[in-house]
Amino acid sequence: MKGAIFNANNKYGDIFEYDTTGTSVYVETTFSDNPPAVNDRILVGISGYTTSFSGGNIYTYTGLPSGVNKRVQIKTNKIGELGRSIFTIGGTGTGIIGSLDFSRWSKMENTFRVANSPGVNSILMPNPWSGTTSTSYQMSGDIVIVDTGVSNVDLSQFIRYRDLDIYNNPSLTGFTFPNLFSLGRFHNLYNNNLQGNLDLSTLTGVQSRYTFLFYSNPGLTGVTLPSIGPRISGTIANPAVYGFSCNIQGNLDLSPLVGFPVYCSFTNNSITGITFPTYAQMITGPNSVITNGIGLFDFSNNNLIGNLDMSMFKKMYNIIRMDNNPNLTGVTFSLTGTNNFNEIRIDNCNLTGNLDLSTLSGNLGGIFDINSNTNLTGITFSSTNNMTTSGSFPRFYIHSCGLTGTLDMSNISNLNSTFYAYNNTKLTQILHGPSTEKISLFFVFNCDLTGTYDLSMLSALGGNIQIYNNSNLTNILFPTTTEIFNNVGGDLNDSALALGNNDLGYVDFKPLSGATITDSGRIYLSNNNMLSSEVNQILVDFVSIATSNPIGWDYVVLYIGGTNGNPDSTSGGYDGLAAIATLTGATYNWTITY
Amino acid sequence: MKWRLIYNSGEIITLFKTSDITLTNHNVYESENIEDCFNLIVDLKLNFEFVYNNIKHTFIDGVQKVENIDK
Repeated sequence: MKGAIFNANNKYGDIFEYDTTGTSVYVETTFSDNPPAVNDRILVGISGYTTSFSGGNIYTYTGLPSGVNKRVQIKTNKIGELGRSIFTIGGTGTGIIGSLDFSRWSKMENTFRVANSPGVNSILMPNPWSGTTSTSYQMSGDIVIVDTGVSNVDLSQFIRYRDLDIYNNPSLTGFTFPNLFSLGRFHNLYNNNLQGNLDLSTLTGVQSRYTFLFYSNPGLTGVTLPSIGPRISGTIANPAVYGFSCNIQGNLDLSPLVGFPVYCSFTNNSITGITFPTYAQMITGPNSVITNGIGLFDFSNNNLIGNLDMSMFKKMYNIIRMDNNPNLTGVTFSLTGTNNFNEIRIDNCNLTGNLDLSTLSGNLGGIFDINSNTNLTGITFSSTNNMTTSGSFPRFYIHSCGLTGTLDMSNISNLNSTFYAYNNTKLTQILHGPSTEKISLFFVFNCDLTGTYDLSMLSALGGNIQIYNNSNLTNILFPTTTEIFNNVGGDLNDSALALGNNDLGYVDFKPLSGATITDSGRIYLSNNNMLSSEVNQILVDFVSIATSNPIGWDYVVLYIGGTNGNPDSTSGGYDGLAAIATLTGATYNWTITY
Repeated sequence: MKWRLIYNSGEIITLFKTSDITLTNHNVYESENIEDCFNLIVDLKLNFEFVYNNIKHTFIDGVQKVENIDK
């Protein structure tokens, strides 16, 4: 374990003290001259022990009694005249505890760092600095306090720093921030125990290349963000604000962020509303700015109330998540041009009426998930949309809503992987666009599909098809496909082709003749009120399919009974009984229930 | 309506409740009680998964596990 590390330019005679219960003291210095000249050497004193500097860059004193508290005092010599110095204090077994006392330090530049010291419970900074010039506390580098036991950090005397890395301090409840600085860039303040409101408003002059990462502070109830101006020429891209997994409540004011973050995540809070700037610049690369744009936007698992008006944003891409906001009734988009998303999720909200996505042209995902909005009656898509296979679980979820009438998806191409539209009891029609991508789960049960459901444009449809309990569905047009169909469970409605309890008449399965039904794969067609002639014709078709593709269509389990007419040898001019005999014989080994 | 279990020496083909006719080359077992079918699956030491009344019954080499689910 390295007990503590700090980098600074220090003047002659500065003193640093710390306590240790460890068995050794280890001080490493890196000078521009090695070994350091005599006047550049440090002096190390250990209470109760006679020590002296041993020469070179590394000072080691071993054999101290374990568990006994010792005070170590380090006095700088002429180091302040060097361009840069690095101190490493501690080392394995040093066990630094208590306070790190920098209160007599007169000058600190470059980087200040305390890390991997859970026994350190406070860090005393000079207040005020004893230096005589304002540059005595202008840090050209970073302030780093990581993995310590400190409860509060007073940075008020610093007027400049580059990055703040103050994270993984489980007892840290608050900061006192500088009042003025000019170089602030990355602010990593996560995994602490910050309480109440985090007021960053005094941080003026934050660079356009910024981050504010204060996530995973479960006691943090609010944040006041500083003003971030427009892009500075040449600024590197991708500023971010991450405040997820805190306890932020009420309205979140993002209006100070004219230089708007590319990545913005506040998931797992209790935010009720968001105030956006009236004008924003999303910085996506050196000299690259998208006016009124936004990349990652994640406000899932909050308490957004009413309609969220995002109409000021004209370009969005990548991820937008507002799922699990139970009082969110609508979202207003007003995008222009093509906007490609990997993930759009507004599921488990209270979207009400029609969701207008007509300005979201381009890729909808990846993941498109609007499920469980019981008052959502319609979705208007753009005239040009596409689904991709990006993400770990690509899907198109619109199930368990209140979709009513016809859902026109005909301009969405390449539907793939998983399509769930079940439990929309007023949904009478779905119009699909063309897709050559594999579909493995296709669930449209418990709806009100009416008439013919056309799936012929989904040329890689396969897996598990569940289209049952649509009492007005009279026909399904299958695509010509060579995919594999399989059960997903033992229930009849988990059958490879679960098509029962509709009002199907004759359905042409011959387009599936090149497909494969896995052994013991089930086709459930019972309770469709079929006529005997329709049952006969389907059975005769199955003989034709099995004959042409015996490997893909043997050991099938077919249910075609219930309210359907019984097969016979004459109805419709088809001999259904002969077909059953052929299919259940030793060649094809079907099991048929009628 | 009776529970009907279709099986052979290597696998459970299907389990369902019906009053229809079944034609098959496999073995057929019928019972008023689904538990009898489950007991037979245990005796046959076969694998099967079946959801009934929001209880998921999983058989692995005839060993039955039950799990409440929200399906």
